[in-house]
Amino acid sequence: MAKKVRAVVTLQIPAGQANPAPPVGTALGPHGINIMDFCKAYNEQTRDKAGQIIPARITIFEDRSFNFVLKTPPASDLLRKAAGVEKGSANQLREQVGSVTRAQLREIATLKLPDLNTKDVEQAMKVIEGTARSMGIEVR
Amino acid sequence: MSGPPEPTPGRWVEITVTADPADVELVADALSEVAPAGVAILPAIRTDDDREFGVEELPLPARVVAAVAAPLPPHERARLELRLAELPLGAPLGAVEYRDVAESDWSEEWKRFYTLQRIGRRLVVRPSWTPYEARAGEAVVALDPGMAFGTGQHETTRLCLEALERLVRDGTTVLDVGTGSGVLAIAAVKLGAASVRALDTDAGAVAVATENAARNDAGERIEFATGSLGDAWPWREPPRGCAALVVVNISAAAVEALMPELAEAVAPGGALIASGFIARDAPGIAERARLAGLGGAELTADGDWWCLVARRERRER
Repeated sequence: MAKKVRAVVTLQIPAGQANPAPPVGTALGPHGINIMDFCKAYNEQTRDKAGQIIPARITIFEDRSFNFVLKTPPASDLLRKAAGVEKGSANQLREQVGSVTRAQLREIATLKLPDLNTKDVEQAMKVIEGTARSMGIEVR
Repeated sequence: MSGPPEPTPGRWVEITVTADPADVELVADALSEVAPAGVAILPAIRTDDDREFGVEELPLPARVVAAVAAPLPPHERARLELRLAELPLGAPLGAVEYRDVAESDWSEEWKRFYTLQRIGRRLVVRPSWTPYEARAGEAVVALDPGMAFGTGQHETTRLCLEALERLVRDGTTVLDVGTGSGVLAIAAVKLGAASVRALDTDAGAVAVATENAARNDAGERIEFATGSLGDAWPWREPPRGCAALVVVNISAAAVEALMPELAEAVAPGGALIASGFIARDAPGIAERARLAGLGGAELTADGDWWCLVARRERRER
């Protein structure tokens, strides 16, 4: 249909836990889209991914209909889980907060591949390694 | 001893940070430390009227938005800003903005955008929560806007509905290509169509449309399927001449690409209703219809959007 796009919003929210409160309500409410419809569909599609942050990229059309696609979890979330740390380092120059192995890095890069601007796992590993470094996570 | 301030029920502080696209991930990550419910990322986009009406994310700063329970006292703001300042980013961040947000019934608030609409002489599209008593001769479609295009709020939907109102007679057969919410298929039934076939390449839209048709007691006269014309045609008998009215509301590019198949599906004496394009593309689409064997082109417009009605002769010359 004449999909003239009004807005694009990516919500980075915990799988299975979308509800009308912020950030969902405040991001989608002003566009007049059916928030409960989004929450139901998102929760249904992510219910087997509990504990992960699963981004949803929502396209909002001129007539206030919408659709969304799920993305891979943020690299920072995956790295933190792999390193077993609570949060990243405020300053990677001062502090190493944890580490991941090259095998873990490869695993994360492979998972993230569909959302990265490359088809090459080695290249993707470099991107993820950069994120790790900036979070204070060392690659061993 | 002073602990963190008690949250104020129903009050939120929304935090907005503008960041370079390459830095969005780290900024979102830092914000999610204070806002475990998650963050919203609003990229800069370009949505000019290209022929697909697609969208392009631009390499310009994006807004990263999070909300925390109010209050967010000055020392916590300072701590957050320090955290952001220490992130190893590629480009400087914009100022951190704070906005007080009162809780609202977000699950219902969006409904204020939808009101009952009268279209043409006798069509009424109403939100399902707005009761309406139909007057004699009126055709009423009840629709909950959702995850498929066709809420009745777009000019192209209205143009197609008006054309259907002019052309559907009791007993007309209809093919709806790119049905979205199913609004056109349902309206065709309400206007007297005997049977409607409705297609969408998006299985999700087909599910929404099927539900909408059931809600309107129109399900029995509409056959929905995932697919399109051409190779993706889902039914056994070929589409040639299968409907007295073929309606398509997608985009200029899609309508042009599908034109030969669309025209072929129109039964002799029938018509094609096509929309989803703007003035610039109207002459080209009318010409395609002519080359595909449809004549008597009529173009109508609503705002920027145009609609073509073209007919197949009763007897082929």
